[in-house]
Amino acid sequence: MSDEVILAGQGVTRRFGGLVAVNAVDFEIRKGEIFGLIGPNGAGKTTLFRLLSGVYAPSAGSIKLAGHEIGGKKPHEICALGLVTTHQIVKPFGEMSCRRNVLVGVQYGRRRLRRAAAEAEADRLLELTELAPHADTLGRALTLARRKRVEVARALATGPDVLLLDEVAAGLNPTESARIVELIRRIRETGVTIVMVEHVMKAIMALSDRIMVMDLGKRIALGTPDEVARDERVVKAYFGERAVA
Amino acid sequence: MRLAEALISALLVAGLYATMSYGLALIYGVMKIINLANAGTMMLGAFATFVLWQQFGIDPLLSVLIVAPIFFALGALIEAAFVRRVAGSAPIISLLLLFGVWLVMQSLASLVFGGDVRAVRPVYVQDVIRVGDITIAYTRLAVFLAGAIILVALELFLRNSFLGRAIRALAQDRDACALSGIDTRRVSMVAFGLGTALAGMAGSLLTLVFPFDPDFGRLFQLKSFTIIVLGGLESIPGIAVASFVLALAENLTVTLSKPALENLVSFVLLVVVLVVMPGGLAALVRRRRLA
Amino acid sequence: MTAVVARAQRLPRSARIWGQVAIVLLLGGAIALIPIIDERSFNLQRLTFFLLWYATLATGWNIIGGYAGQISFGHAAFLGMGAYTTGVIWFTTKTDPLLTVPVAGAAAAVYSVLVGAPTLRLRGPYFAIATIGIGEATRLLAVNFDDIFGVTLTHGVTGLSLPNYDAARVHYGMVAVFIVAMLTTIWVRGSRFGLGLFAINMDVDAAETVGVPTARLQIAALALSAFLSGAAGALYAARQQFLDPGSMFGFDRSIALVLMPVVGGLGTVWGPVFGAVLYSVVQDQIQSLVRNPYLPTLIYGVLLVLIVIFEPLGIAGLLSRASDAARSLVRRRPERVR
Repeated sequence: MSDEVILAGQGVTRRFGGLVAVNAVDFEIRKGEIFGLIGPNGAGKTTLFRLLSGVYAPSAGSIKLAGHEIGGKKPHEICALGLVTTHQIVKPFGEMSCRRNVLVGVQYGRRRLRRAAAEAEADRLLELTELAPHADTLGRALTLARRKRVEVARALATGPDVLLLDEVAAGLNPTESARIVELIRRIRETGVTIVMVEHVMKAIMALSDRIMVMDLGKRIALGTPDEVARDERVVKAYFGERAVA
Repeated sequence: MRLAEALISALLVAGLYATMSYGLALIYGVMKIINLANAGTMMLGAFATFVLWQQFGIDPLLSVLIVAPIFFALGALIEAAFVRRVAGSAPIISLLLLFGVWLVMQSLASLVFGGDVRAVRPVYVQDVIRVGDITIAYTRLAVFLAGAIILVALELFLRNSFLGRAIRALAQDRDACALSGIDTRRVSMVAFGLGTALAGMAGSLLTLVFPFDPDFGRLFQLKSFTIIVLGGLESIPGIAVASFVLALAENLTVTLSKPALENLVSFVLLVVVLVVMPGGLAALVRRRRLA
Repeated sequence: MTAVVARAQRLPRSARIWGQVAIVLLLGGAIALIPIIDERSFNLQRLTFFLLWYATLATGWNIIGGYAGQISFGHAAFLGMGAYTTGVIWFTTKTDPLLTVPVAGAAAAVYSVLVGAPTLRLRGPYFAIATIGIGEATRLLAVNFDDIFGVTLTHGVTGLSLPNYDAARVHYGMVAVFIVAMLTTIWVRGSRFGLGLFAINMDVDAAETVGVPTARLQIAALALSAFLSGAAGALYAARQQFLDPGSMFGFDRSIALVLMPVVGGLGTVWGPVFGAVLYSVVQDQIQSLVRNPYLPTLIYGVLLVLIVIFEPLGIAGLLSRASDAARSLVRRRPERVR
């Protein structure tokens, strides 16, 4: 990890009608770190992710990826600049084999590989995500755990600097979840910065270098897992007033 | 006075438009599929009314009551026999399926009735009502009132009956409904039946105002679609306003330029909504993204 | 559409592609020989011309409808745009109609981008229904064009009567356009472009996320599709030497353009060709047999419903199943996940 900032938000805001889903949030994510994002339901985590990945345009504020403003750009443009996301509800291409799923990422991502090199790269990613035995299985025929890994492999295939993981451990059993944690560590070792939203506390506490806590659209805490876990406002947001008193 | 007449005329046609469009919107709301057979259903409704009038002398306004249950059953049957089988596939699959159903309806009607243009002309078809300088065709007024009654009755049903509330709940959150023990298959079947019955009744009413042939549904399909895009899905007031806007635009086109261009209006309006005010569509797009 | 890339790829990619190219060239070559072998085989020439014509149209439609999964119910607009472009240029400047084929294709492509750019913002079913409007609006435009603009170009409902033209040359022209269409569809199917279209077909949002420029690709697919339709339209003008809005822009045409690829096999290379064969046979034979203009439509409607429910890959899917069954009789193969 270095001190170089790769993804920075300033006053990031998104309104839906009268509702402020994300309210003037600031953050700086450093190159190579695993950055966790937590908060109770309705805190604005998913909205923030959608702002980062380009599904929504921010109502106000700026989002900079390695110095480039990406707020309001389209998802494919943001992908080309080096930020890619996985979907909370996994969306593998159902009628494509795993290999072709990954190939889409390789061929449309930042690396314009020739066909042979692209196929080799797809195979390498299937290896990394332990999907090699299922390379020819159709997306819709996979188990949830494997779909999630296809989702990760396909995103990784675009050659990102920053990878957003939206609840990749949700819905998995402890064994599967442990394997995903292992995978995320391996990905980080390749130098990719990871930002993750997760409800599985064990996973996020174990993995994250730093964690940002959101509640009601605002940032209420930012720090190492230990600092955050001791933070009074965080405990209050999660467990209510009385737990603190 | 011509403006007043145009406004009233548009309002009266809008009643019919709203009836036919709401069937489309109801089915979309509950099942998230576009019922391409809607126009075919209208056409069959019109022919059923034609037969009832020709063979038994039943007035079109009365035959609405006969058409409604028959078409409800037809819709429920189509849902159970075909649509249910492709539930969960890509949206275009159900679209193609219902396109096939439409073709079958259209060709069957052609085989039975031939391709001629028909009209139902009861004795009162020429009657007009005069209010000051304004003349209103009696049939248009009757069609408007019938459409309004149908929609109000439907709204009451959706708000007050258990089944109606289940339909509305399903339109909002299918998964939650399944979890809370609502029989989503049965509700889907009822919704499809209701949508089909609405289209059939719209077809009945239409015989009093427009001539028709087995092929006429295409334009009305487009009109219904324009109306639900303009007015937002799943909202009776929105659909009513959009129906009025479309009817007025058509009326003005006929008065101010060429009658032949009347049918262009719905398409032009659709494109204008999409290009100039994509906000009108924003809700639609957002719903799809969240889904 | 769903079941698109499902069936396994047994041969190496390049061998498969060159094999398909060889089949196309052989088929085209054989049909091109017909007027040379027997100059007076008018019936066979007519039959094969329309076979290739329908196959070209279905193949063109398949690029946007089958590969990208955006169903168009208004493709007659692009067919008619091409036909009228050639017709009007031929009529007014006496240019050889075969020379105008690329122009006709380009005109249809440009037109498709103009109407497609706003409507492709709509997804799936919404785009499909908007295309009904495109078809209808274009027909009305063709009917009223001369009145609206105060010129004499389309001759409205009376139709545009064109000079005579050598039937054999039209035949060769059709073979050439068919070959171009097939090479295009084979290339798209195996290319990065095609991969992007399939991704869009399956999930627009997911495709966009991993870098597929979905809007641009869909418009490109529509333009390519319209180009082929327009080129086919040009050949129709040269062969029939008469154009009228009803037969060019009619909804029946658009319906046929949907039916052939869907019945044949959506998103496959050969499906549209199978569909075209079936369609021309039904049009030609059954029609003259029973003399009822509505029966074919009934057959298509029933076929469409059955195919969508039981075999979304159409005739191509049935053939592939049959060949799978035959293979498994010969030797037991390792189980494949379908």
